[in-house]
Amino acid sequence: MRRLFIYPHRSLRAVPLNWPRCALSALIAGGLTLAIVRLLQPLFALHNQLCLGLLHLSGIPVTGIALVQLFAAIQPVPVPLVAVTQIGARPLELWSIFAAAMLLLLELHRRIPFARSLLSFLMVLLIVALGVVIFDSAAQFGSAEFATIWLRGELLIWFVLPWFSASMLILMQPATVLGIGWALISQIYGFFWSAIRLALCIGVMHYTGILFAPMFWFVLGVMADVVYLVVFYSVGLQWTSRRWDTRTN
Amino acid sequence: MADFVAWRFLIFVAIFGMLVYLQFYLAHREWRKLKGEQASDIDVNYVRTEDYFAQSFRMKAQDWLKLPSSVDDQGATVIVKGNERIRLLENLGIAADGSCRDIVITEHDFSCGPRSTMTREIWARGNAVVGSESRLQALAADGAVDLGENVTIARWLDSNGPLTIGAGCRVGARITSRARILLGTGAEIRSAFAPEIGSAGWDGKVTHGDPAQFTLLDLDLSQDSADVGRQMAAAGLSQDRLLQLGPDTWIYRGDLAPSVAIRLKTNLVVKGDCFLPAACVLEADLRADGSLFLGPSCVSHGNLIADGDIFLGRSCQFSGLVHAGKSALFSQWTRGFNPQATVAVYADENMSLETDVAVGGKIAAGGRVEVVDSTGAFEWKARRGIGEKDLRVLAKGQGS
Amino acid sequence: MLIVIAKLCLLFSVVVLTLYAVRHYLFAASRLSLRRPKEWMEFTGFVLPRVSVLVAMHNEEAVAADILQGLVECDYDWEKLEVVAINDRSTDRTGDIIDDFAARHPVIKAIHREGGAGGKGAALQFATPRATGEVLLLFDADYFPGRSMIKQLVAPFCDPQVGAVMGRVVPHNTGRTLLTELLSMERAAGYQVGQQARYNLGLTPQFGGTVGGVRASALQSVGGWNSESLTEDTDLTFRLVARGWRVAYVNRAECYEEVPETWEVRKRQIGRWATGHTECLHKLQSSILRSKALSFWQKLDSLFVLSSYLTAPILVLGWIASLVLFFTQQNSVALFLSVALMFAGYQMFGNQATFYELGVAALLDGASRRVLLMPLSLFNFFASTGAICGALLRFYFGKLRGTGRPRWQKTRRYRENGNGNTFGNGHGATPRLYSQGANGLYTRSSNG
Repeated sequence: MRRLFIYPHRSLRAVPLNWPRCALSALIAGGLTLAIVRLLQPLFALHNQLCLGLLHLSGIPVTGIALVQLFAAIQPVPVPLVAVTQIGARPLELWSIFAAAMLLLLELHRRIPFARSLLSFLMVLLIVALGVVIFDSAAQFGSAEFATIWLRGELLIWFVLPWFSASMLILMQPATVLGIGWALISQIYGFFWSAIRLALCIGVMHYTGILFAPMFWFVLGVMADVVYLVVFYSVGLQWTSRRWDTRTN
Repeated sequence: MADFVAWRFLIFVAIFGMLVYLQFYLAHREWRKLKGEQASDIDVNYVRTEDYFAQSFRMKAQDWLKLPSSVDDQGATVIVKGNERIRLLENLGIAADGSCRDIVITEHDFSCGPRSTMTREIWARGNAVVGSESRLQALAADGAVDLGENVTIARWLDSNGPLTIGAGCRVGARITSRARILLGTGAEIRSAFAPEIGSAGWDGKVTHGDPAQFTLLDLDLSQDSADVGRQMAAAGLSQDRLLQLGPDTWIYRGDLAPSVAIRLKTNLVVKGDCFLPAACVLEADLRADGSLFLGPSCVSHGNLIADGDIFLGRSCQFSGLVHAGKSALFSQWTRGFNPQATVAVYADENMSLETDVAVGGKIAAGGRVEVVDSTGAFEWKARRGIGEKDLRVLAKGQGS
Repeated sequence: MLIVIAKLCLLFSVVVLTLYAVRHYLFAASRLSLRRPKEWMEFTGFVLPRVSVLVAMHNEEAVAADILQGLVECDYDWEKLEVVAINDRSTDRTGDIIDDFAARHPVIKAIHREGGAGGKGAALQFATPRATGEVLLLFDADYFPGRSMIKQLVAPFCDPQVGAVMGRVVPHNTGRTLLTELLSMERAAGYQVGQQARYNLGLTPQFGGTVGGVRASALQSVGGWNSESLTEDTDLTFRLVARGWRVAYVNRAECYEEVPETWEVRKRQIGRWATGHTECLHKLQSSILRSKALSFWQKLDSLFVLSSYLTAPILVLGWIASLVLFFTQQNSVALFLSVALMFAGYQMFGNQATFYELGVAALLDGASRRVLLMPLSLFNFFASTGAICGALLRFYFGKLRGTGRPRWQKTRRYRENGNGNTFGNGHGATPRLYSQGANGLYTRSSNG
């Protein structure tokens, strides 16, 4: 007699919290946070260098480096300065790009049912941006302003990420070295990915002005951070689950 | 030059797009694999049986016996199945300090001397006797089982006949018997299921002594308000704290501690601790958000539920279910039997039984079920602040 | 002025969503730290009240036979069981199928409702006076109850304060579409983590109207079913707890359901839930706040539950406010808050569960492969947010105009015509494998 497979699996009734492990995770998170605080200026400088490098490689002309104030408690940080097209002054280009983007979004909307709400949201952002470009030219801003907004958000993520990693370590219970490595890798990944995304956004602004700025800020900003967090989390969980020899689907 | 510059940026955009897809690559790949797959077999025939492990082992063993076999130099039939060896014998007796690493099936009796070690399961189609301080994996017997003192069974234990657990024994999982289970002092198990389960010193009777006659105050909360008020006042309780929950269920806000023995006729939910003096009779269900302490000779015909501890004084009787959110202690001479059904007792933490306690049905705990002596019972009570004075208060009201 | 309003809206959104996110993380932490989830499985088979199983069916010919066969094959004592199969104004063969089963099995009682208001609540209201059980168990028609399901669900009723019980709903059509996989993860988080954590913390797990039951006397004490509500289960849950009853959750009492396979069907389903929940919030919030039976934390959590679908429009409000501040280049704090909003908001993947909860549930369930699908939940999140906002807009607009409440709509079924074969891995109706003896122990049948 074999007991037939029960769905869902109940191999684990609970995952008891291991208080020494919680303390260690908090220590790792605290250490990382402190490191970020101490190395904030060099980190921003490196971030800027990465952005600049990518902009150069992709052929975007950089007109200089601006020092921007993120928060009162932090010294000004360097960001790339790029000439941003005043697309409001070029109606033909504006409407062409807008139409092309909307057509693309509509086509995706038609073909990908599960992404329809997200695409509708993006279309709304695009329309709002168009409205701002047409009706409120004073609201348009440059790459430095965009980079300022961006870095404020990313700074929050850099501080939150170690603590999120800690919560994952408590759950996954890896070996200490692996745990520290995991936290570091996710931090470094976030840092580099931020620079790449910012470079892309600034590059697009160079060609299209602020038309795609809100869309990119929403989608490529914090949302993209959450996506890679979730990816790391899911990979870690899968590894943990296999390690604990729970039955797979 | 401008076009060329734009192309470089387009390449960057394309690479960026790939990097974005990479974030979703694992998810996409997994979706392609999972598509169309039923997550796992669903077994709607699954039923939770108390003796599942033992029955499962017997069934598997019967299947194994159909496999090709050989005969070893001791005349036993041997079946090799992967890394496992199954030995089939008429009888098996293992000497003191002996060991065996095989799965053993005996056509008749099994016995092992003190300090034996059996690392695999045993199925005795007759009786089984286990010497003291032996260590076994699991044991199923179609006859009776007798464990000596301080035996350790890592997993389950099952018998068709009477099952006697010696003092100090430890069983890691369920114990089931179709006849009777007797637990020695100091025995620790996870759960026991049998028509009769008794701790050391049990005389085999479902009641203890002759039922004494007590004068009880009837507390029927379904009567009209004035009558209920009189009854509550006579019991030293406050009617203001009563709240009707349903047609047959009331809530009492705060601790409940009647000053006289009562006969409670309706379901009651106590939003605090509950201290019932001796000889109370509960004709319906009683639940306490805190702990539940029943004085000696209380009788419960309903269910006893507490989020905290449950304490049954000496000679208490119950015929319903008992569920403690923390630990429970049944004092000496407690009896839990129901002629029409099996009773069940469960404590989320530990379940402690003094000597001469008997239950007809199931006793289980999230932690362990243990038989304690008077010292152990005293410590249990002391940890919860139940002193002799409190027991005397609980015993108040006793007498005809 | 616009900027001030935008900042206030943003602050409000951040606070609300952060509170919800923290709440869910606490639930996940609580669930993880449990050494033993509170449960009643040890009492399965020892609590045997008289039970009426109510199955309301409106045009369910595709699935009716399966659930009735499943209930017929359950191991509950037929002397104490009745299955009340309600043919609720069906225009297909549902009535014939019910009559056929009733003719063959005395445990089934067929009830035919010819007219009256639509909706499950109305059907239950019609059938309940005809049910004789102390405990009323409910199943939707497309569910597959296991043999022991009834015993598992009634076990908590040994506690006199338990007014309702909820089991765990598990999707079985998980591999059909991406949506079904994502919903399966969502369900797992909601039950394995959310419901269990709330139960263990002494809060209120929700009675979901299926795979659950209610004590007949408790139902009577709160005035019976609300046939007007789109979510009669939520309505009943909070009327019960406001009165002082408890809802028990039995995690291991699993029953298998079909989840929507297309986004259109899902949108309608979640729209109904959002509207129903919000209706209940407006109707019951004062009785919850005034209840003498609930503690402060229970009241707070109840309000969180009833307001949970409002997080979607609150999130959208926050996004709109962020957009205003984005273009007006407002000060650092406002934009910092925007980011906080989005972070907290995006945590709320799926049906009000953070992705952390999704992962915890997957880990506890051993779903090590499905867990990799989590990033795709983002799309489900957007779809749900849109659907909920649309539904709530219609709801409030309708209230303002006094155009009446939304109509109840049945969720679409996907199964082909059931033929009474129990869901037994394609082996058709399986014979009884076990029989229970007088001593309570099961023994394997010789024909098993």
